[in-house]
Amino acid sequence: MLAIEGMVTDLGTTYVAPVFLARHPKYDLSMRRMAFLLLCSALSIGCSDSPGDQSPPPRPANLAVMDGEVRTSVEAQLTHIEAHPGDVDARAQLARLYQANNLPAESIATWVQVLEPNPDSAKHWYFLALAYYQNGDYEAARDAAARSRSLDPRQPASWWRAAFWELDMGRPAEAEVLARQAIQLDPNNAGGYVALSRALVAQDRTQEAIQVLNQLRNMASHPYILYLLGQAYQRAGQTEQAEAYFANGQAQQPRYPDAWNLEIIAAQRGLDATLDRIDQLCEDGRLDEAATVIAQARKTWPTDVNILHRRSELFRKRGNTNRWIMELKKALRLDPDNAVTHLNLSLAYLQDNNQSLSMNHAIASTKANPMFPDPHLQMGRLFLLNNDLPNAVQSLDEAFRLGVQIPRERLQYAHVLLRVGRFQEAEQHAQQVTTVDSQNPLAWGVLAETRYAQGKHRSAIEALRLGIQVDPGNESLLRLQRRFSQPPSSGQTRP
Amino acid sequence: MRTLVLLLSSVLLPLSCDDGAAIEPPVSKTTASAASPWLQDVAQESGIEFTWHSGDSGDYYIPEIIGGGVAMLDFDNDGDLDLYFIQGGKVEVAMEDPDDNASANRLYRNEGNWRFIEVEDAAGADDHGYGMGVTTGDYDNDGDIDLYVTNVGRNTLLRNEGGHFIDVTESAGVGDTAWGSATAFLDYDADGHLDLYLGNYLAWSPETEITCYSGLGGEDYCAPGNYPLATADRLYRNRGDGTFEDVTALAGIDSHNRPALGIVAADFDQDGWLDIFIANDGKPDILWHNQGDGRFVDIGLRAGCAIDDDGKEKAGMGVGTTDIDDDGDLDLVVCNLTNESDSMFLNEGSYFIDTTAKHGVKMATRPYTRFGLGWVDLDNDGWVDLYEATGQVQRGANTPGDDPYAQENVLLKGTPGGRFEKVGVQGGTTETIRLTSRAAAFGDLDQDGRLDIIVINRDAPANVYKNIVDKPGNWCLLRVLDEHGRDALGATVSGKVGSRRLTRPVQTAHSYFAANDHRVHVGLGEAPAFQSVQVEWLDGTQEPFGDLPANQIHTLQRGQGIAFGDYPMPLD
Repeated sequence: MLAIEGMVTDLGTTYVAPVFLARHPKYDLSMRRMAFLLLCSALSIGCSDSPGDQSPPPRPANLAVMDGEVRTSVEAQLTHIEAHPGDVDARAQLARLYQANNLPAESIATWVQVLEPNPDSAKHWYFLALAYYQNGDYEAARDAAARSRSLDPRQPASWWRAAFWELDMGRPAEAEVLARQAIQLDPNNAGGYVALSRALVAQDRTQEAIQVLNQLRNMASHPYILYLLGQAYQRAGQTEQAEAYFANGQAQQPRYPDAWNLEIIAAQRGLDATLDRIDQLCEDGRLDEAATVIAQARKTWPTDVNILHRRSELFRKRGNTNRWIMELKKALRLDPDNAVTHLNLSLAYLQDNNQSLSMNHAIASTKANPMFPDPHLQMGRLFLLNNDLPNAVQSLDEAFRLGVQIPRERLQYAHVLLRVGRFQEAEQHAQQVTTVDSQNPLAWGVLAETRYAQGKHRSAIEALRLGIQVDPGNESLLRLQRRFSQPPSSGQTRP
Repeated sequence: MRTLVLLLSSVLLPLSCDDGAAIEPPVSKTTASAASPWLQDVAQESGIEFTWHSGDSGDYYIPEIIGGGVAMLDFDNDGDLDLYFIQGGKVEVAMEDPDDNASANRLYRNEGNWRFIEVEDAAGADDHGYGMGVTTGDYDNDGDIDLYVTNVGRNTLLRNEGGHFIDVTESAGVGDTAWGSATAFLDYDADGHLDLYLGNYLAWSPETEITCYSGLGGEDYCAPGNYPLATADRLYRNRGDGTFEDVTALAGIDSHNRPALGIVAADFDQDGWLDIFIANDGKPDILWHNQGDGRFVDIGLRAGCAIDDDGKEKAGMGVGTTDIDDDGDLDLVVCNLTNESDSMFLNEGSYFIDTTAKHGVKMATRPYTRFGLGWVDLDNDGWVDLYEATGQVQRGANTPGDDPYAQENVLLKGTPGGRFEKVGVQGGTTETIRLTSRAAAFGDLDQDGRLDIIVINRDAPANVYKNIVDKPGNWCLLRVLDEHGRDALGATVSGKVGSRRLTRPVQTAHSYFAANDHRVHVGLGEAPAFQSVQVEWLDGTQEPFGDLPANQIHTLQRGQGIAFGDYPMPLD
């Protein structure tokens, strides 16, 4: 499968918008950058082999508002650099700290100091580009990324990220060139494909974009691809397809692999960063390391429910259902009305074959947050397990009214609707699934049945044919085929 | 004698509007300099001293970082815009009993020549709730502008009785006690009575408050997603007898619980029914499509305006709507949090496309947390500009001064190519001003045809920005009234400026927590007139008003446009 992970085009930081404060009012950021770029050009042609920058590292204008891990780390690094002003590695670490913790202006200034003695580091130019982007200085980001590429053209991220920046600047033609290069360098990185498809849509080349996105879908699965397909079909005037993709594709752009940027992620400090790190370790299967980070985090933030959710997840991954449940109960003691905790407990109890408690917590979750669709889905599943079709359909109705957008769940819903005789709605949902997932034989089967039940025999047989084409040996579909080929008799339209 | 032209066909209308009268086609070019300041803060000299008090408790109660609001309205019907400021105070006190909250909303009467005098007890509008937003409209059709104020706690409807306000909340049935936020009067059922949409934010109380940390490690305000539940918005139908019916469920508005912060109502698909766009904080924005039968369906996602091209559910705050591409339908802009650019959505008839990047707005807005928003023509060159009031919701370590949330406001100049460009000094002011700004209201306070701005700041004096654009273009200010003489909220005005046809909405509710000038402002560049003007009333009927000379305030009342036979034909 194609990789979609790592870092997003956006560094994912919210709420803080540092504004660069020029220490010398008339020496603003862009002037500083220009001067530095000129200096680096001079250095790169061998004018000088400058010793390391001995000037003091930049400090945040208002250090007092920093606290906890972030402040400790920054202060320690500043102290070290003051004692060892020629330690370029320490400055690089400070730059990473600033960059990873929402201080892009300070990060830019520090990267400049780092690059002065070593202007041939493609990676550091790349980090400088990211910092410029984070600071909203797109042109500088583009220039720095170009410099990075000129020094090391083999890093796909410095191509696809720059493609996204060109898109942000309203220059899709330039973005297209960069995206195509990114794909050529790493055909397994989704970043290039997404950037390319968006560049094509922005140039009104929607059919080409659809081709690229379908190519991507064959390699990766993510609802954002469906969302982009919806947009492309909409602009191509294919409204019905667009509707189906939108119904199943509400999702934020994922993160794409970026090997260099892992260094920045590692420099993140604070609760959110710690949670991200735990998630990443769990995702990578490094569960012991995750457990260590969790234990440390529990000491720092003892009342945070999210950390307990992570610990429970750790036990789930290890197959320890008892501890999975126990950690969630601890979380519930901290926050008795947490809808997510209740939902997770419902899932855990279901795993533990305790359907009664599972249902209790699913209901508690809906009460804690009536607009949260997932516990309604869970209730639907539980009712189905007990063959309680009327209640199952009621819960699923509610879940989908609230906005479930997962094709697999939609297919389940279509099947339930079929079973309760709501054929038209069932057909609509099944059709949406086949539109976005034409390789799912069961979806074709459900669609065929919904049509057959409404007397639409020809289109039912066509849907069945398409399903069998996907999976010629599928027993369920072959059984349907036999049923459809029999002459209709009274009551036979009933599934 | 001009007569009613309700039956004028839409086929004939474009012909009759394109009259080719003897007015020189204007050259659409920028008249104002982007390098010189556009705005000057005249709060002190105009006598306005208002600070929105957050009541900062040190407990990081989230309401402290969200309010407050401001209205520009002609409460005394003397022809100029007065100012009504929404106050905060101590949120836990106000929620317990507003009467115990020492702070109250304040009203300033416009005396002309940039002199404002505070009206004692705000003429009865001295609501003591912990205030958020406000909207204006003549809901009882008695000829004067009423107020609806949203609070953390019970909202307040203030009926204007000849310049004095009476709290009629209880009798009218609109005293929702949740955390009210964005709100607008609109006639969604086209029955001639203004209905009321109330956006709600979070189900918050001091007991639901939790401890959050900023990216810098320190304790700070929480993001809305940390609270368990948003509260569904409300829709109140005006019965026409001074009372409202809560039709939230009937209309389908209860199908979402999302934290609303921004609102505009307009007929986006031009089907004759007002739709409602809601900007939500951290959740998909909603486009309530008016079905025409009293029901609304959210079509935001499939219409392409719920999330951006990155698929991101952004922190929607201020909202604006106008016709930016001169195609006759209304486009949208929504502003958001730091690292989330504005979203500029171009209306393509049945759906929107995200053209933020194409307009150069993506990179210009990303570094700021934006709230109040004006998509208006500040230099009167015929191209709408973009003004945004900014201020962070979590502290920044590199913010100079005492206020770690402060930022400079954003002013982008609209250009003929469709791109927006930064104006010389950040925020367009004579000197850089960094504050934690929230609401921004837009209107012509001194009747000089240039739009002025009021910006509300958290725990700092409000800015009263006089528009000082050098060499502005020509302008028209249009009072658009229905047959009863009431502002025709929801109608649109269009007219020709050279080869372009500009379309502008009649509305007061846009921006963030603000009520704006009820008149339609049109920048004309060098054109000596706004030509072939026509109003599209809420029911879809179009009425021509001919050519309107520049640099004047005109009143366009329904039924008093140009009769079919009176109107010059292009071939004459």
